[in-house]
Amino acid sequence: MENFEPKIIAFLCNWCSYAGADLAGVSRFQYPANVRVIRVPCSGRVNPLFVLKALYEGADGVLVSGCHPGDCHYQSGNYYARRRLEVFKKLLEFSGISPARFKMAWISASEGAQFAQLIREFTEEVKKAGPNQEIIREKSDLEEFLNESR
Amino acid sequence: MLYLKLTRKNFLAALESFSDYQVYAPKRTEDKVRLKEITILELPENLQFERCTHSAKELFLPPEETLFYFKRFSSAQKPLLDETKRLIIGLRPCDARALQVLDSNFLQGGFDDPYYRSRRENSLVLTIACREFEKTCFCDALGLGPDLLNGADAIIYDLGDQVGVLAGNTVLAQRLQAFALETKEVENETQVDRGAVPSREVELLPVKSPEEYFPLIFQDKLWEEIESACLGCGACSYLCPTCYCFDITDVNLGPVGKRIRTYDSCMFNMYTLEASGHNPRPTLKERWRQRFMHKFSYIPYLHGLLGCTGCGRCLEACPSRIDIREVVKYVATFTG
Amino acid sequence: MSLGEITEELIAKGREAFLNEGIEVLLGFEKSSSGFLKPKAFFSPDSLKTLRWDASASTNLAALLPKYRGKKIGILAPGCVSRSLVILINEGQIVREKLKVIGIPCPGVIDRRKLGPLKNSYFLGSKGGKFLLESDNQILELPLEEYLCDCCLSCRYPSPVIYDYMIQGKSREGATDALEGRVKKINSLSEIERLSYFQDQAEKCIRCYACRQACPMCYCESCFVESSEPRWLTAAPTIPDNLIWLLTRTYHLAGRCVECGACEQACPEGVDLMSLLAWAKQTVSQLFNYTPGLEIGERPALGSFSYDDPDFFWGGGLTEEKKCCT
Repeated sequence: MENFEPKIIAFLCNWCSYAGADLAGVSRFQYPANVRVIRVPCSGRVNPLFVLKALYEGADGVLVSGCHPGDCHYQSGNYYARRRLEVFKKLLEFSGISPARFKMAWISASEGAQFAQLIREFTEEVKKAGPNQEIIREKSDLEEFLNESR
Repeated sequence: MLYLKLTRKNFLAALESFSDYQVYAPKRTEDKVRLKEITILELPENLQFERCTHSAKELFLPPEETLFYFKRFSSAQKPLLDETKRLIIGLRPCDARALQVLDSNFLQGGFDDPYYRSRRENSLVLTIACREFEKTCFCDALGLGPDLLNGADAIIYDLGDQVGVLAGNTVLAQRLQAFALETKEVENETQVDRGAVPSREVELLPVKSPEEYFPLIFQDKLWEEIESACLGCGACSYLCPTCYCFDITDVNLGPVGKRIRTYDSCMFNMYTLEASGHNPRPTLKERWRQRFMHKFSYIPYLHGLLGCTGCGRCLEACPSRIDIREVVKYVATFTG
Repeated sequence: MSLGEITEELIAKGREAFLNEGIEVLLGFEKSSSGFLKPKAFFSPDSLKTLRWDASASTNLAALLPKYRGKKIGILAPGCVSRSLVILINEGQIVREKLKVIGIPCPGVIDRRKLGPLKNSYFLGSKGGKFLLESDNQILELPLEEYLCDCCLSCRYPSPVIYDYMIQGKSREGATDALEGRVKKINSLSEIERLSYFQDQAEKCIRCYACRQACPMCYCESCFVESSEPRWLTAAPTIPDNLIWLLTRTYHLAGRCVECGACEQACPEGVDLMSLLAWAKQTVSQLFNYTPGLEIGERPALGSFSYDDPDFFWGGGLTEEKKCCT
């Protein structure tokens, strides 16, 4: 599908990745506008249910990014995230949901260029995987009703 | 009611006149038997159907039902009613009986549930008399038999190369008359040829009315015994053909949404959990007792019919192997 | 040990637990109306005369513990149940001192699903490698090995890992790869086939939550499905909602599930739950070298971390010097 523009939700930790994304913007690094950012205090705050809920509500790809191991503002939050999200990612793959849809990254506050690169790569990967049909809620009836009543 | 005798071929031919009806019959997939859509031509001539592992409940009170759509700042849309005409064939007398229990709740003269009523009014239910008992069913012990009409539109008896049809629904009876070998007006099942109706040695378990034993049995140690085994899993209520409790939630999409109805179970902790945090049925003892009383005491008291059909699905499904027959026996013979 | 001897010893140990150790309730089994064993709480030493244990005892008794919170509890524990107890102790749900564990060497438990149409027969008992069913006035003698749960066939810890009393006898030996085989089979499918398989399971699910209720590790007073703010999934049993239920429950059990199989036994719809749970156990074991329920004092796998955990994150592998210069 040439015109497919994926919706990507990115959970970025406040202290590193969110700042890194901000740096990318200030430095005018170009990256696709498909990503919608949600700021969390720490990557350890990310409940894997966030990822499932995002996909269920229509996201085509979900990114979770935090501080590099050893640099967590809260000391160990990202270590917990590393373990949990590792298992979770493999669970999604095992159940047949395209592995391209969930990505985990470490982006520090100074890594604006890397953030832009990450988004460019991830958007391409999700585009290739196509629209999320694996775990998305059935809302065509509500969409129809919404359009009718406009 | 009209009793008709037809050849099998003619009976199926008579059904073909219901061409505008969607036909449902029990169909097996792996180890489950459920009502599935089929065409009249696919109906087996011997009219042998397996007993459904799930009940007819899913066609009248579906696991998910959209009640209406709504939009912010507007009044809600009218209820969405399902008016598909359906011919449901192959259920058993216990399933028809279950529909009578559901009717007693959803069709209460002036307070009808429009969704249920619409499905009920547009469906024809044709049951078949059982040829053998399951190991787990006990309709006969409750005084309900495997050959009763139980409010179905018709029940089909196996008479070898013919079928005997006892039709309670006059429209159906009229349509069948043209194809029948003989007909007669009767008042009940005992006056007609029902073929080989199964029978067995069974202990009748009449359940008394609530006034007789309710105050005594409510505090009995029986309920603690059951509680020690019950996991509160809800499997019994989901599979029970007469359990009708539901939950209502909203599903939104921005400014619009729909209100849906899904199954609920009185075995869940949240069922009677109040906003204050108080729960009048805090443990499984109270909840199991309530479920039993509802079927065997409150429904008979309010509506005059037993809330249990004796189908046995609950005791088959129970992972803790709680046998409701034992409870019925204990309660029925309780003298205080 | 014959079944009769096990019963005698069980009752004797049960009595001891009541009289000498002061337990207030003993969680065990008694015969149900169909001959199969059903869970039962015994409150006095005299009531123990109906206490039984055999290959039809498929409930994980640790799931019944929350009902008797605060009491001193005696519990019958084959291997899997004892590991559930260890995890509950490690997660702060029960206190070891308030527990008296009667350990049982387990020969395995019959899978109701494998019995097929025989599951409504009358269970007469199990002995040696066989069990007896009565069906249509016939007595059938069947080999236990063919009808055991996959969980029991693959069980590497059939003997209890903690106990206060130990009943004499021999546990099942020779764990097969029944559960690993299920996981392997799914892994060998293509991505689309795997999704299709799990969507089929999700379609069967009626969201009755029997699996959750039967599981000793699902003790949350408020389960994530009951959360309305935030709401993770709707109450409707649609395929995507059911997938969220199945996947999330699996994830919440990763590193905590002892593979007792009680969930699959409880499920009225025949959903394949153990493939996901066996996968979770394998993955946690491979990644973090962790098997749940073996040691008191251990932290749960997903509730802890190591500096050397495998790291497949994008942008990882940067050293201290490199970070400074970017």
